[in-house]
Amino acid sequence: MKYNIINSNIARLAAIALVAGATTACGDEDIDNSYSRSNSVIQIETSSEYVILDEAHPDDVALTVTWNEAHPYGNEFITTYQYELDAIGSKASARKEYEDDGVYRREYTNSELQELLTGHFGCLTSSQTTLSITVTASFEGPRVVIPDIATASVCVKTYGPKQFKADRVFIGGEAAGEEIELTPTSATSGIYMWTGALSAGKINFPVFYGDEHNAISPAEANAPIQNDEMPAIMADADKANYWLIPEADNYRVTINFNNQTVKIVSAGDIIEVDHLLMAGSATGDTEIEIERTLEDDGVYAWRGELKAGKLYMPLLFNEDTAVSFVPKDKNDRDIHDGEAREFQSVPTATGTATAYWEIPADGTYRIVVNTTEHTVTFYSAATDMPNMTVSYNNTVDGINPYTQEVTELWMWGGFNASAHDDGLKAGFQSKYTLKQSLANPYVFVYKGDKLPRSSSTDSWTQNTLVAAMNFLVSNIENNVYAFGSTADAKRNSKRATVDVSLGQELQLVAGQGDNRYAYFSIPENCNFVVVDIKNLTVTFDNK
Amino acid sequence: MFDINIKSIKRSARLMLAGTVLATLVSACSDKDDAADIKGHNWDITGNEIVNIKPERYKMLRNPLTGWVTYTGLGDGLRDSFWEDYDNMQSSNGIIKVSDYSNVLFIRAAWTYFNPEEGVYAWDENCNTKEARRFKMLVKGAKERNMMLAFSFICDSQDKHDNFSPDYVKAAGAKGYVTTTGSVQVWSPYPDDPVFQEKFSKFLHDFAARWDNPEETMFISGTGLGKWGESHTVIYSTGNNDPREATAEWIMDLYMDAFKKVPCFINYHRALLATASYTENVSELTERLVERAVEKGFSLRNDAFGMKNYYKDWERNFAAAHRYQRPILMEGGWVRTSHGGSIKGDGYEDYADVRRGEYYEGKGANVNMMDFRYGGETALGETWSWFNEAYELVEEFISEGGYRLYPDKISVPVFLGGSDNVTITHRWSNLGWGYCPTNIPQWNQKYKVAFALLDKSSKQPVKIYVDEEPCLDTWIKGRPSTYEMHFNMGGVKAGEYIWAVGLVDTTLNNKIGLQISAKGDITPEGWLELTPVNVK
Repeated sequence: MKYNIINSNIARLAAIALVAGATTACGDEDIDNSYSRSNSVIQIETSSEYVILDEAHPDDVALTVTWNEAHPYGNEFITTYQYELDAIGSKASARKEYEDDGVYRREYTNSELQELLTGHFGCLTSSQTTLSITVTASFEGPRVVIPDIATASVCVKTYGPKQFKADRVFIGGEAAGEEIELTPTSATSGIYMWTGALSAGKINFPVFYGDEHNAISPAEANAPIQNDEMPAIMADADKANYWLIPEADNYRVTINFNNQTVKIVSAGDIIEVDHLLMAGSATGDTEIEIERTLEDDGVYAWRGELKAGKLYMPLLFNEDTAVSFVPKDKNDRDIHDGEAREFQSVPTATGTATAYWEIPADGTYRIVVNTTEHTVTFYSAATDMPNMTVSYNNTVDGINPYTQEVTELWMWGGFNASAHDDGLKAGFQSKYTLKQSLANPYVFVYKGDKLPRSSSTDSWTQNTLVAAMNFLVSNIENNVYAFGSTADAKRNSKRATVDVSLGQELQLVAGQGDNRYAYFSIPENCNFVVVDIKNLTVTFDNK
Repeated sequence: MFDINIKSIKRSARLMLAGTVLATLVSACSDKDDAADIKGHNWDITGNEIVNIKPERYKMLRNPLTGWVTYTGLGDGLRDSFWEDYDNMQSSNGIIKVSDYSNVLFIRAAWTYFNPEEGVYAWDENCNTKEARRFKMLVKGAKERNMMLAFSFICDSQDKHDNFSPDYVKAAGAKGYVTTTGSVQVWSPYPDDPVFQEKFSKFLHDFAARWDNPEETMFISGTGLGKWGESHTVIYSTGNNDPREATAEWIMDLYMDAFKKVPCFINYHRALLATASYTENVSELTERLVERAVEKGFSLRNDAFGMKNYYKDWERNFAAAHRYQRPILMEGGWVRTSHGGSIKGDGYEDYADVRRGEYYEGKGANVNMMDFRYGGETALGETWSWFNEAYELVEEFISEGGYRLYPDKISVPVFLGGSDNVTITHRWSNLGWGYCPTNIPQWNQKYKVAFALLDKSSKQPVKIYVDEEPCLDTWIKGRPSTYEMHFNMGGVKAGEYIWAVGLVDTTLNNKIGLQISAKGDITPEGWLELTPVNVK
């Protein structure tokens, strides 16, 4: 069956307009009617306007394109045909070819079109793409003739693995009862979130995408739900698996199209907090904030003096402290010094009267709250982690060996073009220090502006070092205890770097030896650095 | 066999069709009466047959001054495995052989490498420096791959780790200057120093004595002065630009005097032979010097295509003003292996985008040749980048860039006697956006259209008739040119022959000089067979 063509005259009209403009620009010349110089007679015909490629029949013809001969301008003219195939939205260049043999026809099999679309044009499998077909006849001869340009378009659906995409998303299965349509959190987030009552039973997430009816589902049938994000696949709706909701409850469902995950958690397990506080007699009945750590948004930490007495943790959210953290076991008020123990959320007004931690004695405590793992760890002076002490040859003060507690780290290397603060030596800038974590005194964090990536020259080898950085325990001189990279550097011989990717964890080398000349070549767009001087690791990232 | 040169009567070989709006304007404004004029072409000739010919648009034709230039050097950066690497290069289209896409090997190297000692040259059999061994390896490999050669001689050592001018120049008393590259100090002569000029002049003339041969050398790129040999950042003995004009005259005359047959190119740079590396405002002296270069016979190249902060409107306007007057060679500016993120400054997303930027800037300048530069590392170098990040552009340039000449229609006599007066009407097109630069003085219209009677068995020309009228440099894309050639057959023995057409080199006894871009039967020498003919 043949469909009539969408033969666009826009290009030819534009060309005619240009010539009309040109002739106008010539002034009063009495010239031919410009339109009479154009004979737009080419028509493109396609075998279909919508083609679904058939994987089962790769050699069958899926699409035929034909066009007719251009207007014959006679012996004095040379007519050249150019055939062009483009995929709308693809960054790949259009496929162009000349047709000099008078064959005004092109045929594509299923496999040829599939390869052209998914290979050359980079289109997705199991997706629709609009192919644009253009035939241009150019005429070279003794007078100007407008090219005859004809276009047509065909929508082609590729085969292959389904895309994790949807035009509309629903909650389905017996746990939901009737299908419930979801809306994204924003137009661009790729995240759908819903909170409400679900029954015990099966659940998956039907979607409509183009002409497909699919469902977001687990790879295995009847998969139990977990508190974490669960990997999901896209399958035909009528063949899709389900997750199992264990009991009727209020649940929050989060579908993340970016990560291709689904998260289903009991609404009661959800922590929503603007600020985490401490309260009770242990704080002198005042509220003290436990600050969120730089290194982990789910971890809060505090270190300071507490009195013996009651302690619970109100969550300030929307200017209200309606919910507090208390021990998971309401009857166990022991802090379990140095051990991570689970907490639970209770209404502050009613739940904290009997459920709380009992601080055993006045003293200094470090408190670490992990909202991801739902744990609290109390460290008394007896169990707390001491600062790390390092020893090195302090050439500035002339003390050898010199010992120092590590309470901050200074970024060092050519990355900042040896810029320095007033009063500090070249290369040292306060803004490029790493702060000690309250949750772990061996962890140091930089979170701030994007780090510069200046290049420097190794005075020994004359090699260029790009964005070189390592970490020093002091700013008195570069001849101090350092945490460098594993690069093959040697004092008085060569400096060296290791390349780093964002998010990559790399090994540190500690000491006052060749490691001082071994740098990391920090990646572009890095604004987040975490150094662990106990486990000797470093991560450069963007957050 | 003998040849006859005949002055044809060209009734209307004028430019006929404009493919652009600008051309449309010109045509519409100046050529109202074109329809009447064109009817003069005589196609329906009694005793003749019209042969229609289809263009061949895709094959890489080994014609001079068109297509891709493969760069190489002679220094330590050149890998011993150069040919092996280039014969087996990974591309987005599988493993390819670079010489299948390029017909010239451009050896761009230090003067010292070509000429290590006074009177000793890299091509001498007994010259055995490592650079001379590389030179011989490259020349031998190019010949094996049917590639021509091109050369450039860099005298200036700025940014280099070796002395790019030979030590004997300094020993002879040439004055110069020392620069530091890393931990190495290198010496360069002042270009205005008389000892340097004497020594470099001798070298160029000796080089030309061996290599000014258009059958093996495609072009020479000057001047070799200044930073990287690119004719800018030139350091003179005075410390200023005072010697600039005189030095420019000297170096341009030197190249023109040495090379009579092989085209020479010069960088149309806005700081041509100036002490500066770049000037925003182009001086009157620069304008004068580049025009002088063109007048003296230089063709044109630029080394910053695609660098938006260096190749700007002045360069574009200069290229436009000299379009079809001199061929233009493109060299891209950005280097994949060393410029890294700096391409972002020009708004490029990645190196595929850089290649597109270079390509379309080159297309805008109607360049005849583009560059496969050598970066030492085959993987991820410029050549690799073209073949892996812009393969389609590589093929497109072969198909649409430079020049591709073909006759689409020829009316030839098929009923004739051996001494008849006959007429051949023939029409030619150029499929490329560049042009065939027969108007440069080194070529001096040496390529001509010729018709031949081929022996039916051997396919060798029995008689060649050269049409002196067509000037191939006027064949511009979109403007077919038609000619009528009237001549006497000159006493051909009766018998069966084949009419053929070719583009011959009249300086080489009318041997085929250029390959025709046509489909059909083409003899190994390059004659396009038209039709059998029985001469009575």
